[in-house]
Amino acid sequence: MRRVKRIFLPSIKHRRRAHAVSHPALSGYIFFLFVFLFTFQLLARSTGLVLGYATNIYIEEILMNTNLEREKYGLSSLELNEQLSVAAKQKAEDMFKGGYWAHIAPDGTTPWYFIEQNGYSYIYAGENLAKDFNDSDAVVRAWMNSPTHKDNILGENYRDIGLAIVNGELQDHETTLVVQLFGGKQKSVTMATTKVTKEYTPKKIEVAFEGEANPALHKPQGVSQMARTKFEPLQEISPHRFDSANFVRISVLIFSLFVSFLFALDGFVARKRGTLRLTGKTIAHIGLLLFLLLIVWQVNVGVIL
Amino acid sequence: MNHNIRIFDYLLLLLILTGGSLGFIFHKGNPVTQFLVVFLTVLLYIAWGIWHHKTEDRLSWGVVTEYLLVGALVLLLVYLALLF
Repeated sequence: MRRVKRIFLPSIKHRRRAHAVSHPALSGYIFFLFVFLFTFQLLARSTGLVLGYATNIYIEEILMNTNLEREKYGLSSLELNEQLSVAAKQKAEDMFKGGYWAHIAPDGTTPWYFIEQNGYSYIYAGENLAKDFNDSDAVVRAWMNSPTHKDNILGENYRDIGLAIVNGELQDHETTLVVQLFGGKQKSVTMATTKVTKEYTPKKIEVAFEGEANPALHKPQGVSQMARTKFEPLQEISPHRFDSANFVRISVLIFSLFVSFLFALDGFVARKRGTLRLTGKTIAHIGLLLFLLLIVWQVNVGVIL
Repeated sequence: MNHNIRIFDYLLLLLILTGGSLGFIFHKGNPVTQFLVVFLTVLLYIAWGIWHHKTEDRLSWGVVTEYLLVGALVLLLVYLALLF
């Protein structure tokens, strides 16, 4: 019991921090993290797992969520279109190849180029882009929270949609791009104008993967059947994998909270006992750990364009 | 006066950490830059620790080592989170 106390409580006699937050302990945590990092990267390489790729983004779910949002506003559902999906995939690949994150490529290539190249004749077109997200719900939620992206999703003149989810390395960072392309071949009967609204469409085509779909996945109601009959898989989808990103993020958050608690306990007990020690400022260390908590919370939130 | 200096010291630390947080959020989507922001914040935190203890005349190698270890731990945890 004394030994346990000594681990978590400061020593009165030696005027030192508790063992759990002593210099050897902190060094031990750092060493353990290095070993974990090295081992994980080694395992990832040997098994082909690529860190940074999203494991829970699926075309069917994005399509379903998109149409659910449209349904809330009394709009018709969008149909998954092969031409638009191929165009979205080509846009995603172009972004990886060109190393850019933008609607218009550095060489001036617009999203409409890919749409036109695939023979989709449109009057209205739009594009939404997303990267660094971990799941389908978060992607659509982020788009809906942005007025311009929401306008695309709820575009009255759109009838078709193309979707692509492509993994790759963008600007020295492994990520998953989500491209959403919208198309309309005729104006809506409710529209009084013929204004052409060309907006960005997401790039990454993850064409319906009916044959590759993981049966354990939740299937959106009324969508998968349409998807299955329309497309052949153009690209093998990422296999359903352990969500390493969220696991690591949560582990880091828990560990930071734990170490903050240890420092707080050590500081509180030392202060209560009136023990004078030559140590760093406990409140400063806790401040830095809370900073860590805040920023890790922000990690992997994802970016839309 | 000493009490005021201590408050100022901690306000300065709060400013460093707030600046680091805002810088991190501002560079969302660019993990390399985000890591650099955190690295700079940790450097400033260590510098703050050394300066603060020096003004209190309580600076020692043990204190410096402690700030370095906590800073290194935080950097490593951020790297892990950004890597995934």
